[in-house]
Amino acid sequence: MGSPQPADLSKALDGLLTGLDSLMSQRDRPPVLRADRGVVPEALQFLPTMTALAVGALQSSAPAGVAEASLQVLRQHLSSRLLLWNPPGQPPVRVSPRWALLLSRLPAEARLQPDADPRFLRLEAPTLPDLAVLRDWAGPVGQTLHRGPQTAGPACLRLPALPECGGVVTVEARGHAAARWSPDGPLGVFFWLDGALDAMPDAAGLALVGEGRSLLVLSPHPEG
Amino acid sequence: MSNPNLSTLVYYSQAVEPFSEVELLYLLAAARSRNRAEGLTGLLVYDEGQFFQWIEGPPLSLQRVWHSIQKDPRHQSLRVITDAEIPIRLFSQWHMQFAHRGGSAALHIDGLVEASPDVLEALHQNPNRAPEILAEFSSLGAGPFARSAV
Repeated sequence: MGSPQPADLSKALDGLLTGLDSLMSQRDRPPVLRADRGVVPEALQFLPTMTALAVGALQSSAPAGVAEASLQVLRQHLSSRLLLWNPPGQPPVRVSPRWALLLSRLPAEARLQPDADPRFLRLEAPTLPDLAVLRDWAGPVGQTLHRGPQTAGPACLRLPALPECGGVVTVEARGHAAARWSPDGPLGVFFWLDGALDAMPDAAGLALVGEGRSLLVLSPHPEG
Repeated sequence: MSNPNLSTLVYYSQAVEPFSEVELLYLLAAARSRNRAEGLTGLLVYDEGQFFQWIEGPPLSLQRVWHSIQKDPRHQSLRVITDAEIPIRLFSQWHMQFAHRGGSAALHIDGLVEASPDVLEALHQNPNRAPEILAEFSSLGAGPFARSAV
């Protein structure tokens, strides 16, 4: 942590660390909403909604039901921030802004639609570029892209409907704990970078995991 | 002509750091979600680090959202150009339409329009004319904000 933070990574940290620092400083005195007096604790005033919900969802010490409720509200919060992808001649689909880079480069015949598994969207086309190319088009979030079940029909790709919220696999890199996205790992909240950083080409973003820990998310296919 | 239950606020501001296309889309998504909840509609134009925004709706909702916009640390040098009652909404079909220079046309995101270089140049040259210029993005046209009326 002695070296300067790259600007993009600092932006990804925006809100997350402020919120966590504020929350951790009140560890012995958990913040409670004081609706009766109309007072909101100072720490929560600086806590961005998504981080606040994630902290609630990821606290194993939270009372039974609180984590599940926080997770549900977090998903609703993210779902309310989807944009309508509406290409000519296709039914509209709600998508995360995080997929904009990928969607803007797809061939016109590619069709995006909800998957049978509500956690995913399904992208189909008679032919699709190699997975490595598609991941590159998507930027760091591209590591969450996976080929769909192989059939005789069109090529199929699956992408998480809410890439900001997913499973985490903890890995070790250069002696430190780091994270990668996984469809089935324990829940985490992801803050993806827009693109690779010159200073840290294998950094893909940050993941907020259990007990308020944040981990660097690594790209599985570092370039350079 | 005025309607005490409907107001518009037009302002411009400067991004502290330039926004990437993805950051702009996240901003747009959050604004739409908030405006939907508050019954607000409008238009946001972004170009070369400068925001120009038209927001319209019930005055109390407008006040709440304006308060939150002012506190957003991602922009600075906010300047209000118009804060007035209006007879009808100009952007009734959009919780926040979004216009910027090129690029976005390929995205097929609903409510994204491309702003012509001439229009953007006019905004940069004379930001105080933003109300009349932004109003022309409306399907109703500029109406009382028409350039000839100013």
